[in-house]
Amino acid sequence: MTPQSTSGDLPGTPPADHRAAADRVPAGAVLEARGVQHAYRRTVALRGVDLRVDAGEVVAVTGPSGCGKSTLLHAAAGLLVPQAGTVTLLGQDLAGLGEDDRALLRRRQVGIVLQFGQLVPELTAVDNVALPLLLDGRPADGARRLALDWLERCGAEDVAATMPSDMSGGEAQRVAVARALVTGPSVVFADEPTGSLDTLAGRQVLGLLVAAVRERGASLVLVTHDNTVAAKADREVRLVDGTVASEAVLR
Amino acid sequence: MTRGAAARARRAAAVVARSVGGDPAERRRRRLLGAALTCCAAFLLAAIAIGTFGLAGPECLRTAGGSTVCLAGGGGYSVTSPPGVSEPIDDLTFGGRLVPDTSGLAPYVGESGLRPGVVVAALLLVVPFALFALQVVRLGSAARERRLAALRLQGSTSADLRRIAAAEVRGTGLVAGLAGLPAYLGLWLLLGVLPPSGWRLLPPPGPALVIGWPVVALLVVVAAVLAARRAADVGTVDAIGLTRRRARPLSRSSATATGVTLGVLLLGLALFVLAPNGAAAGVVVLVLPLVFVAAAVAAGPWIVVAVGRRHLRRGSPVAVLAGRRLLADPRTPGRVAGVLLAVGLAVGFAVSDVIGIFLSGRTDPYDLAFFGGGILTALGAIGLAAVVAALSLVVGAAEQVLDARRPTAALVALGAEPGTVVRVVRTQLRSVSVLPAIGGAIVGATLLGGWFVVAEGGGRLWVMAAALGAVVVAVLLAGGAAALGAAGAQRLLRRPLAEAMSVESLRTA
Amino acid sequence: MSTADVVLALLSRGPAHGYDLKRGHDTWFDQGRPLAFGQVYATLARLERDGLAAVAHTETGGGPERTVYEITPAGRARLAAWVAEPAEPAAPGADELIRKTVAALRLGLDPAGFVARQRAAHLRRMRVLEQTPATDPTSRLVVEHAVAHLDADLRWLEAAAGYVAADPAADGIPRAVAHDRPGDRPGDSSDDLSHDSSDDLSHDRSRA
Repeated sequence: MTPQSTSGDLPGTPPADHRAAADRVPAGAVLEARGVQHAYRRTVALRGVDLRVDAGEVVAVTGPSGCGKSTLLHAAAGLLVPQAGTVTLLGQDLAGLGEDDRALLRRRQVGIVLQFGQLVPELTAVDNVALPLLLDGRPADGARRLALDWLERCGAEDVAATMPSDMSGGEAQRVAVARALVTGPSVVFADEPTGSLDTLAGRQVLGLLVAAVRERGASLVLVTHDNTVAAKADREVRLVDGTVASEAVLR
Repeated sequence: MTRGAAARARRAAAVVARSVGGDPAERRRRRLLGAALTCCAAFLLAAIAIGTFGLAGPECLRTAGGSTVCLAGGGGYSVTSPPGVSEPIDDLTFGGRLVPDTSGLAPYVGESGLRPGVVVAALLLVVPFALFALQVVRLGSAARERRLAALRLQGSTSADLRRIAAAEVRGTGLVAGLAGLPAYLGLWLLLGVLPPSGWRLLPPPGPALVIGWPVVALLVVVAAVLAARRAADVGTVDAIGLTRRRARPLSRSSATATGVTLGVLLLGLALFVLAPNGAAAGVVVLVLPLVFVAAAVAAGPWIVVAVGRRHLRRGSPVAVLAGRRLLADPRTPGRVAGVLLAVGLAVGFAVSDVIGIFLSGRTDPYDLAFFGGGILTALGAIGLAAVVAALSLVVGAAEQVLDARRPTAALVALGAEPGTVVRVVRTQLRSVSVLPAIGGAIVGATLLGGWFVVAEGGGRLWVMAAALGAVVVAVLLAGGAAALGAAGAQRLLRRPLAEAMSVESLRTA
Repeated sequence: MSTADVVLALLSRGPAHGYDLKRGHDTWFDQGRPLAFGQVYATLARLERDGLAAVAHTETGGGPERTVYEITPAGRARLAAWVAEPAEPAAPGADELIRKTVAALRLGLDPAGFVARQRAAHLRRMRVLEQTPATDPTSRLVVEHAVAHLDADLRWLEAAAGYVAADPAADGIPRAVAHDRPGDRPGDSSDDLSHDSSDDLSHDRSRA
């Protein structure tokens, strides 16, 4: 990060300068992605992107649709292996980890919230929230109790015994937030977490997520095209056409 | 609705059905449906061919010496011997078998008294294919539901939807029904020409096929259309075009149907046990297997529910997920479980029947060939049914996997190892295949073996030991075959599963 | 927003003196600029002159003398008419943001940098507003209004940057402006840099 962009005066830091500066890796980086490139069959999504997230930092990754922000999130969370570049998540080089080890890392230290449709349709809310704990071999009773606790904190205790198909969009997202936080993650990735909600419900869910993450001192990477969502972050990284167009400290 | 309006609606349905047919998934669905229905038609024709065989001409016997004895109209018989052979023919006490002369058919097909049993077997073989076809009719549910919802949004009535669904399968059904005859001829080449004389299972095509062909074709079309119309009645499609997948729990009416079928089965069994040689027993013996299979298929979903609940109680996430998925729609895998239960029962019967051969004290090679050949043929037919059931399982499971691709990908994103997701699917597959097959094998082998021990064993120790051995062999055979089938199904599911687990599934709706 | 109308509105709650009115105003609009005392008294004098407010009585207890004003029937009518009349939507081009943006984009004065800086400024302001604890329901509403406007500005800014990127002729349109910059002809080197980069952007976007 260049001094200018830290002071917030020159957020439009050119990517080249940024990359050179990023070679000095201070301690406390939760996520360090460098030169990430990825292309799908018909489109190039990322053309060499750097992204650094410090411990306890809330970073918004914004940009118009198709700018590559979801792909960046997927690469950062180890959901896909980028074709070029390195991703270091919580001190681990993701390229060096197998699929199962990446899954384990996500399960124990990473929370993920997507726009919609992420709950297991056959499980009730409480079972959905308990799932990461159960997958980790925690005893069912304790897992369910903790899950209920988190549902309550997220204001979704009313739907604890409800199936996802019977929930409203806002309720489903609250459950998803509870599920992302139940394991006590060090970093949470959220991809348009309020994208399918109306303004009020979206604001509530977002407020909940940000507050819970800040309370824990965890980091949050928010992928969004919504400026009001981005305004919750400490820093904005703006992607345009697969490159970092600008970066701004908002704190 | 006026006549003109009805005709217009029908034409519109046909247009929609045709334009939908361009979709690759829909083309694949129609091909699969066509194949399944063709097999149904072919086995129906086989039943007709076997059932009508010998009705036209005189029944003849071939003696060990090579002479042919044909029953004459007035109760007498005529004998034709090869040159230089002279055999004493005394009423039916010679060592020959009733075999229609020129065919070289297997004895249980050739003998008029055993033939109805073979007809029933051919009809039973239609069941797995029909269930497979039913599965395929319901295939592509997610895409079809979206399509139906879109049509509804544009003002289609539920009658229109049923019409479109019918139009979608009518052409396929007709082609498949008509293809039944060529398929039967192929089957005949395989089972009626290639095997050595005395092992042939299908008689040469006769005039009955010419009459049976259009009847079977019509039957296939009507059945397919009815099934498709029912499948279009999905309660999840509402007028504002929202589709929400809901659990389809078993209803009271399906419980009643299962109860009635089981009742009929018990009644038949009771009749058979109380009066094993009565006139009714002959009919019961023929109808009983059909009722048996019907009862098994009806009970299948309940077995799936029971297994699913047991998984839930086990509490491990894999078991819970598999259990929930089974409980979400117990019908589709339930039918497969029913077929495999019947398969298990049949394996149990067939294996235990070996004891019967020894109990009858026969040592004549012809007799052993007769019984052994029958058991082997039965096992072959059972194997075919099992393979078709396994294919239904693949089709159904692939559907469920692709339907749930977004939540599956989210599950992996959440930190489930891909291996865990695979284990969930494996648990699901095994629950509906291995368990029912083994259960059926135990019941079948115990029933028949028990009958031998109690009624005919006469306290002989080896009968008891053999019956126990038969149970073990039946379990190994049925369970092993089912496990093999589940493993094969899992292999075929590898691609759709990998696709569902990939991060790109997060981009789909 | 006319101060007279707001003071009239505050006065309609009951007779009040100047300090009451100032406090009331600052509570209603706690994110805005506080109302100056001088302005309060000047406004009250004007309202009295126009017959919209009148002196109710004068308090003399304890400290300095304080005049208590009350609203007149004419004032109530005026207030009702003011509320009934929809506010004039902002006139186009009146805003400093619009003026700067048009200038930056038209002149090609580092438009990308301009957009990024403006974006950061807006987001920072939004963040501050979002973090302001809500004292009462209407003060929250005022915050929401400000946030919504900032959001609208940002979206407009994004669209404006998009238009410039999509329209390579954007810099060339204003001949008068081009005249102002000596040697600025189409294909001229000083303009080419921003020209090309915006061109690239549009190509990539259409491919994505």
